Amino acid sequence: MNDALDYIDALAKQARAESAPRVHVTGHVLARLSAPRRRIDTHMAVLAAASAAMAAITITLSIWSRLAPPDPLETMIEVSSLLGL
Amino acid sequence: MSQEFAHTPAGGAYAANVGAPGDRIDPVLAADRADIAASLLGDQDGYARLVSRYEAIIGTQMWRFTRDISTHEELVQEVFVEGYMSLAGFRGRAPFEHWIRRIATRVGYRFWRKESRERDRRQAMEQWRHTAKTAVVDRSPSQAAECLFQLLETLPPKDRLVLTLFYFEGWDMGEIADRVGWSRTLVKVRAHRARRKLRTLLEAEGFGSSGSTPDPIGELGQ
Repeated sequence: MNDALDYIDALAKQARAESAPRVHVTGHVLARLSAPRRRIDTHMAVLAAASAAMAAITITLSIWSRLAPPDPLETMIEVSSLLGL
Repeated sequence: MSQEFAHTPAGGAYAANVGAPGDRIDPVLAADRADIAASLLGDQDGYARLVSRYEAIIGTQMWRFTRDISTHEELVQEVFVEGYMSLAGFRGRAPFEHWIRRIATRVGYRFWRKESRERDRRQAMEQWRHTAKTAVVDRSPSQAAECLFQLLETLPPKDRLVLTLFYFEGWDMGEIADRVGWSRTLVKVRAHRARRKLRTLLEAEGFGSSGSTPDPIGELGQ
């Protein structure tokens, strides 16, 4: 056997005689089809949405507080307290 | 007493294509038609009969996509679950066997695409070297299948699919095109290229190249 493709053809000829393992899947298939569909509970959905909204607000406030300039009134009070006024 | 599934493949154009009541048809086809009609109405027993009628055929086909026993069973299950979900789209123009085998091909190909990585393909070549060395003389069908499986595993999924159906199932280019949903020309070109890749790969492993072998793809593809 000289040719590489001869080798593959010979392998294929032999391989076709192989029997596959026997399977009995009827029960499993029926069980999978009979299983109730997963549904997202309404309460869980509301809770998830509320949590996401809270997280978004927290992150926004955190970013805003870092970016915002110092409040002039707060600065005046701090300076006054430092000066003992 | 028949039971009903949680999911029912509603409606479907199947009833319009099943033929007149007086038509003489193959008993298996007749049984399939009756069971499909029952399944479409949500009858669990009808689909159970279809599954048990075709699980051996699909089992053999899915064994070409994996050599792992538990994955094999999962894939067979997946084929029938997907078959049930798509049953409303079954038009009855071709036998149920062709239709479910087309789904099986799709499920197998999807499985390969998910698991195929370049690293795995290189490993497959290593495995083939080992199997080919240990099974040189008097190979059993199982050893030959293992060897061929590993060799085809070295190819990208599309090439692998065409040659798996060609070598293992013995389908011609037209049948492969029909089952995979690609054009005949595309399948033929892909098969040629994939075989050339394999030849190059094997020649690098020391197989000679006489060039005298007629190309069965060329013959079957006519």
